[in-house]
Amino acid sequence: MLFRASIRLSAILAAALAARADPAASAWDALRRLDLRQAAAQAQATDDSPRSLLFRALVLANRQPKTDGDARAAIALCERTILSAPPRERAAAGYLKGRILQWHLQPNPLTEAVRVFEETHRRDPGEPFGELALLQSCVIRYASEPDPARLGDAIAADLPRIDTLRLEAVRRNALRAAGEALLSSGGDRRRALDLFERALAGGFESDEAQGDLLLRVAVLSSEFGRGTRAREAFLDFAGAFPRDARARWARDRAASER
Amino acid sequence: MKRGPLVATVILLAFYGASIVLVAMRGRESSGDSSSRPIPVLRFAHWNLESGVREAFDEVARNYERACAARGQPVRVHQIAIPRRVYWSWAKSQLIGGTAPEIMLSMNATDDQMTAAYFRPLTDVIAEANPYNRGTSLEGIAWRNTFGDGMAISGFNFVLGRHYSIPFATFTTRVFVNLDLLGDLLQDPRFAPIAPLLDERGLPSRWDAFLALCHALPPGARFHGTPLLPLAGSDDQAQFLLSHAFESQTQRYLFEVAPFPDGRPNSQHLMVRLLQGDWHFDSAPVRSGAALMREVGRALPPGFLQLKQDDAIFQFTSGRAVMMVIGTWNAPSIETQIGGRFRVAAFRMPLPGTDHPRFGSGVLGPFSESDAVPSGFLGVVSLHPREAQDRAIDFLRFLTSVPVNIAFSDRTGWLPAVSGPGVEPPARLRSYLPVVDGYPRGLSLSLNDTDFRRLMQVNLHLLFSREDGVDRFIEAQQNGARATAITALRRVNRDQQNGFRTGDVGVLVGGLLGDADHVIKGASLDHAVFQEQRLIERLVRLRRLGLEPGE
Repeated sequence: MLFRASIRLSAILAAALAARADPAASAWDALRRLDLRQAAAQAQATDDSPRSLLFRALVLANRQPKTDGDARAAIALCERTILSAPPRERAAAGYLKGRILQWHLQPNPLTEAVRVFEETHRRDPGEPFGELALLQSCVIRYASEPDPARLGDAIAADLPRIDTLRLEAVRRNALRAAGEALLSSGGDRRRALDLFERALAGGFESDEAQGDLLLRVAVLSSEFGRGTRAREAFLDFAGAFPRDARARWARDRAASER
Repeated sequence: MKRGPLVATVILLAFYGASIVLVAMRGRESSGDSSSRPIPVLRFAHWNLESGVREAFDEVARNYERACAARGQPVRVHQIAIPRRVYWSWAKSQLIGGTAPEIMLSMNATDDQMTAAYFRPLTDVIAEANPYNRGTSLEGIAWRNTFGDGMAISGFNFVLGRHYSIPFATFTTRVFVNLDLLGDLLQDPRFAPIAPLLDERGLPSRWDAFLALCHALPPGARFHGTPLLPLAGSDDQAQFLLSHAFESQTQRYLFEVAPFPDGRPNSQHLMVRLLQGDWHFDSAPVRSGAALMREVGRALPPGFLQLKQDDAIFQFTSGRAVMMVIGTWNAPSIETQIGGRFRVAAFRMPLPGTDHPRFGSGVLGPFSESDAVPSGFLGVVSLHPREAQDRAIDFLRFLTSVPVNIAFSDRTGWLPAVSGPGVEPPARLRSYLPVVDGYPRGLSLSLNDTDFRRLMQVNLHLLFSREDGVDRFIEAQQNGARATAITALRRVNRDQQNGFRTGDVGVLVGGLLGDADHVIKGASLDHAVFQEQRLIERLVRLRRLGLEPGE
């Protein structure tokens, strides 16, 4: 009995010791805290598993001083991960590769980033990072397209894919991005209003986004003679954000809607 | 008993004993053993050298030490007060050298890269209730919602998309008036026409009264043989006074030039339009704003652009100026300097109304002071072990709990940061309370940008130089605008990209180690996607203009 108890106690204590000293856990924690010096020091010790490759890619891409060489080395690690990783890590690697192209390399190769995001979504459409990749592809393509007609076509072609998105946050942001791009490019404002209404149906977690969308809907509804909806949206805004500097203006606008 | 199991048991017991020793040693190394190690020290640095503030912070620190000792977790709190003019260079050297205190004023508004690298994001922490609010009217409410703006702006870094600091006080800007001097002036027949224009409290808080008082005391005016100024002033006073005047004239215009007519300005959007040649400074509302700035600025002391705030405070506290526009964070120091020699009241800076014959057409209505959000901005330095960071957060919770923050407010003369039902600021500070019900301020002449603010400061003397000051000022603004816009856009674009890169680390680490669905549904995605879309639009437009390298 004493023997068994000793074995059990020893096992528990050994596990406690191992947990305290787990270098991988503390390396990820350092990375999460953006303590890149500590994360970089511990990156040397990690293995070649997909997660370790991704860890090293994140450290390389973000460590100071930033160089294009580090960014390209990080992309190479993402490509190695994509070849052998399970879906979650594979999608994350594709997403990270696209983001490094988008925001780390100068001048930002946006066309190449779109290609990588599209590949990532095609390969792992159901994965969270696969869905994020589609969102980024939409945002870049919409924001880069100056021609309202071509933009309208691109949005029409994307909508069936956007409708299949599982994550509500990704879906609503894709719809909002499409509406915003239509406004910026001088495109179809009525269509923008419909896209904003669809985006708003799910509700935004960010107060700023929710408030801005309500005012988009209110102003555009007023523009197209949908007075009841305009009044409702203006009042929703003023009610939800009474401390916003635009609350009184929104109440005035609501009162002037017929 | 056989010998084999006995030997094995002895070996295992030896391993057991050794493990206990090792675990205990490691535990002491990493998490500390309160019985054997020294009492931990928590240091916080700030630049608030105003009268009474250090004493109030000391009081909070001692009370916190007592609270910690009472629960068996003693801590020593040290306050480090650094003069404002050297604070940022001191802070940067401390952070880069790895010797920074646990809490310091964050660089939220000044340096996004330093903020991301050295300060702990607090967005998750502020979603939890402040335990020190137990038994108060804010018990159980998320920490962020105990502040007036729900921390929609307070402590939030719009580039990085996260919160990096906790506010501890609220400030507004008010016109302070020397009541005794005003009373004396009104006894004089020359100032009699002003009396009917005063409000029910006898204060010049309406535009006509304010301007009449300013004009009744032209430069060089003497009263009972003493030189007297209507407004004490310096460069700092001018910034507020002139920007308020300008923005009253561009309130309606803001809805025209915003990317969408919803009253939310977008400075970078205007800068790109300026570079594309489809927006410029020479417009009727901008001219009207400059004209009003010129009119108001003439009430300031001669040479005000060369004067510093201390000069203005001296003019007012020595009884040589009737009024002074100043932030309420200075009120305790001003009160101390006056030392009861005369009575002072405070009111909001008046502006022309919609019915003003010359300056009313661009006005929408009185400004909302919703931008007077809780501030102070103490951040938690991420260089320290997690335990020390958590202790720093606990101190900030204590400082911003209802009873402690109200006591701090009473001691400093600063409005509290916390607000809500059942939270009463000290009665003597009521005139400082922000008036939220109002309209957005108009387009800012500085486009809310540091480079354009510098351009305005460089050109401002032209506005007051000659009769054609408005023309000369606007021409100079327009001439400098292109180069300024290019510099400003490059800076903002670079900072935003840095923010997105660091934001990605959090999303990818969180998504790989935890529940990716949960990580992706956060409010920061809503914020980041919109900002990224705007940035890509800008980059593409700047590429078309040949101002950014192509792919």
